[in-house]
Amino acid sequence: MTITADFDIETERATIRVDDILNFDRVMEFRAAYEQQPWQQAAITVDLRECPHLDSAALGVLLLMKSQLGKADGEITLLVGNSEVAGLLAAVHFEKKFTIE
Amino acid sequence: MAKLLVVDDLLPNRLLIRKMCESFGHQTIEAEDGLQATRVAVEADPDLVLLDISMPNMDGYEAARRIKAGFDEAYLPIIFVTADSADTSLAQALSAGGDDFISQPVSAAVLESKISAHLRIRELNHQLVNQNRELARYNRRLRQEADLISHFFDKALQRSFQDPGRISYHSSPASAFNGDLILVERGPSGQTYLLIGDFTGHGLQAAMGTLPVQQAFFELCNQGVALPQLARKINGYLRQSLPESMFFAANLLCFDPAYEHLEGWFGGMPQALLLDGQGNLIYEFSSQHMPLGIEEDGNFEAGSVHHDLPSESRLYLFSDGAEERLNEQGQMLGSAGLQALLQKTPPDQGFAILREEFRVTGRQAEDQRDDISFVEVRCGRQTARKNK
Repeated sequence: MTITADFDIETERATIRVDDILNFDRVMEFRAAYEQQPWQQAAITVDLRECPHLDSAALGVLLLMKSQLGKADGEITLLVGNSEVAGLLAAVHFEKKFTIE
Repeated sequence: MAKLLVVDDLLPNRLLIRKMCESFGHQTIEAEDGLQATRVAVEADPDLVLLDISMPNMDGYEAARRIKAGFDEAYLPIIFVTADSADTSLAQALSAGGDDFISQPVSAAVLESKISAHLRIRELNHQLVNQNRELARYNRRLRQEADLISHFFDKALQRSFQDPGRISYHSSPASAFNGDLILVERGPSGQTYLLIGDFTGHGLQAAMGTLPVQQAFFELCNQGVALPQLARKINGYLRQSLPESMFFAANLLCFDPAYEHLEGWFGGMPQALLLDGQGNLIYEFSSQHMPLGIEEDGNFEAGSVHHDLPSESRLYLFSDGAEERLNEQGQMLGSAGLQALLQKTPPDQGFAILREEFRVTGRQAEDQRDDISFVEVRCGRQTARKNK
């Protein structure tokens, strides 16, 4: 599994981990990971520290998740490790929509 | 009820098998030797053949081969009825073109189960053949529709203003449809507008968005709107029409008539590079904004940047397919790779080199994952090139 979803009951924080590239072909898998969860109330983190590459479809699904779960700007946290991914997120100025760490 | 062809040179054998088959509820037709069987098979189109092996005129093996050859698409089962079980095996029956065998004396129960098993296979095969035909028809129709849609896209793009002395561009889609878009239009005061953009994803899904953008672009440019206004308007149209998961990364530029000054709105695209006449990097235009189609109008940032363009300078703009392509080759990274490539190339060959670079990869068109586009703008005062 390259995309896994976890929910920590104590902190009420949901985490989606992406351990491989996230692109057009994996978008449906990513959607399945959050759509089946009752996460409207939860704080959400997308852990991209092991993700080496995002494409534009991946950026699209992040925006889609934010809107489907009704999250305000900055409410969803993206954890980034890879410099390419960080560069891409900076280029599209996703810091206006997400908290990027 | 199925139609069975019973082939045997001996009348009592035919009668016996016929009686059995009729008792299973099937209809029968008969042939007295292999040659007759091949003819009857074509005329009567049976569902299954029960075939004796040693017969005058043509034996069962040869008849089986010919009958099979005449029914290449549909599965017509052939069951050999052999006098002697000792020297016949399933393998022999199969290699002779048959599908099964039954030995005499024929047991009614065995015959019935073999017939019904093979009729079931025939039925499944029928369904498969029909589905294949349906798919082929569907595929043909899809291709026709794709051709038609391509025509619309091509026509729409042909409206672009051509300024061969200043602007060259290239775009190669990863599929039949291009999610990258390059548009050029001249405004009422002689200014030139240029748009290079990239929709989320690729293929038809991505290309759909290009139609409203090109329409809005030409209309607004003809009115000579200011660049921030152009960006805001296109953002508004896309915000209305695009699904949440799609956006349009784009650079919008406006050049004065002499190409000595540019105004630019940079949203989510790779860095644009400005090189001087010697090929040295003068300036990088980094993305200033989020792509179009994401922000509500109230939050939209329309701010543009201004930059002077020295004589003989060149501006290069890329879609991220171009940037990623170099990544895959593993030599250099992203815009740094493009920069290095352009800097070691004589400025007047920059465009040719880029086209060459992406043509090479174009041969592996199958694994081109994203649409690839780039633009060269020859800016500033152009001194006549001396022969050297």
